[in-house]
Amino acid sequence: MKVLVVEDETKLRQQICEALKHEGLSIEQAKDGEEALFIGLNYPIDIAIVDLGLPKLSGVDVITQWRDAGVSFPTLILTARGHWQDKVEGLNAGADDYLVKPFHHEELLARINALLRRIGGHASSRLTFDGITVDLSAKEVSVNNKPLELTAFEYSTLEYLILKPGQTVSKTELTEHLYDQDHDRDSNVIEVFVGRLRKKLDPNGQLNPIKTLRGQGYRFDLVTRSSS
Amino acid sequence: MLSSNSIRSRLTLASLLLLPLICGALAWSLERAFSVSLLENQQRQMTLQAYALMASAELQQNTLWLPEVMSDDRLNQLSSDSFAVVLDNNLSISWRSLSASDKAVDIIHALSKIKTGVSSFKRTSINHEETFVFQYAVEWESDEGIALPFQFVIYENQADYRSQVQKYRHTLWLWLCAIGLSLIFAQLIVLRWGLAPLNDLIKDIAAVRQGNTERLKETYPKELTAVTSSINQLLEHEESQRARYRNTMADLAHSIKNPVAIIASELSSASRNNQLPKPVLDELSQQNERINQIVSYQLNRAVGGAAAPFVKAIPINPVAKEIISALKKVYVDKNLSISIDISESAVFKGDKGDLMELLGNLLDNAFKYGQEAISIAAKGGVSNGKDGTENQYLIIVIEDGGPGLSKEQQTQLIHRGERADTAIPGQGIGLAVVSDIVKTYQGEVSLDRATLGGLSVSLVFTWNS
Repeated sequence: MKVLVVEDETKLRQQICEALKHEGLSIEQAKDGEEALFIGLNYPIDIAIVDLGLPKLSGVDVITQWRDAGVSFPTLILTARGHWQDKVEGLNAGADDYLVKPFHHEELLARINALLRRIGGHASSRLTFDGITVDLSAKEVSVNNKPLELTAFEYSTLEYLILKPGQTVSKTELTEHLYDQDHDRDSNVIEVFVGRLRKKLDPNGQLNPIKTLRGQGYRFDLVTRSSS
Repeated sequence: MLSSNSIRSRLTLASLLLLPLICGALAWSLERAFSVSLLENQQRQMTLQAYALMASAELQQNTLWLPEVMSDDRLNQLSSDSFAVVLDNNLSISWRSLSASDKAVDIIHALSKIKTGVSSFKRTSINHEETFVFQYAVEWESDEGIALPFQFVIYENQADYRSQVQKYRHTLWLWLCAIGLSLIFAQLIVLRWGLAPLNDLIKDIAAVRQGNTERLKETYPKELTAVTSSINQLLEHEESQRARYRNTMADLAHSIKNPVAIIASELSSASRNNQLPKPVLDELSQQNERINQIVSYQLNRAVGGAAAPFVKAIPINPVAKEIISALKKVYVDKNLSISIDISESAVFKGDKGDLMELLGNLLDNAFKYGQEAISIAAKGGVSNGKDGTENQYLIIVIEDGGPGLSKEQQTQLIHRGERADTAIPGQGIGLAVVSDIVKTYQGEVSLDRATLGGLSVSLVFTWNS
């Protein structure tokens, strides 16, 4: 998942980015409103964290222009003063949630996970698919109640596919959303990760959770049975 | 009742007092002018009579002879108002008209000595009757060339003169009263018309005070535009002051909250990586959280200000719906049933930012803790105070179907910065901020158990109408 972090305070932006990277999320960052607008309109972003008090273009203006341009990724606004006038203005401009500074990283991550779940239409953070259980908050996967060892990248690939249920995801899309902008990209690596994931999730080859659609990409086909 | 505090009363009173004085002075001067004119006319008439007598006189043996019957018929009738005599040098009557036959001799006593060629006109009392007396002294040359002095004296009763003056006075006062009443009526209409802009201004100011409009109209007469434009400038100044205050607060929040957020983040990172001993970390985290709480609380309670005289009344309904629409996005997973019952009369006389803080904090808590349902109800109106004054009131009740709070927790939460549930940041500060803003507006907050099962928060405000 690719997160755009828009914050003018360099130190705080770096801290947020580090915390998100630590959770296996891919990062894009912007230090002002204009840069944020450009990245949001031109790069594949899954979720954005936008500070309201930005130089050049305010956070509310950035979100309004994204929505006007048809950009629909979920957005979490950060507000320093925490006044309701700012929050309501931000939310009604198109943001999906708010967080008042200062915040605990855990709270930020919980809000991001909740927003990401909404993309996939899941109300709960714990998803069960025919024996495969994925805990989006704890970032843990188990098969038939046995914990599964996944690398951060394998988990990110699975999470991205799960949050796009029934949708075909191309290798290019996966690469764009799982790697940072300046990362060396190799689509063959994706094939390797997906191959390993299949083996770990479905060692007997009975469920076939990730389908390959030749020339198009991958699709997660299992139906969820959510549990809290 | 005419009150000295009312401009209309003052002007009406002044008109009522001045008008009789003006009418009285006018009547006196007109009557005087009429009387003078009548007297002049009388004198002219009597002069002509004297000339007529002289024309008909004839000197014979040093004595003037006049015909018995005169051309002026009034001099020929007994008991006539007019009679005449001719006196010789010794003031003895050498001739008297027929009309003077029944008059007493004392008519001569009223006469004064005058020089030859000089006339005298005066008013005197003869036989207890007010009379005009005209004398004219002449010298008549005899055939021997001797100048013989004579006085021609005409008498006329003043009854006719007095009757004319009386009639004139009666007519004059009749007309003056009619004109006076018409003037009073016209004055009242003129006052109403002239003071109409002031009445409009009073209504306009009341509309601004009640929040029905933001500025005074600019269509007043030029005498009032200096006042209205000054009030409008004052309103604009106050509005810009509020905006500047809000912006300063926002800048201050941004300047303080970011460093606090960075410290919190660093401490969080240090905790993950075991870079600091736990007691030190806990103490630093606690102090940082304390700074954050104090700053958040003080910034949030830095409200726009209690109901200033010229603050637009803000309808509750659109603001509540705007906040609910925003919160529905945040709490989309909760699928809450939301009941909104806000009457059109529910308005908040104060800063919109303060209203948003009140509703935002309370609705956010209701969404956060509510299960299945939450409700907001508001109504406003006018009530009569104990001293008979009219007060506008606003009651807002927000309820949730959550777990609610114990009486102890309710008391604690009203007080600043105390948190009932430290696991959910903001709870304590939100209610404490609400409590502080309500106090700033001299309102009341009360917490109770809701019919939905959870917490019910009621806010009551009153403003002088």
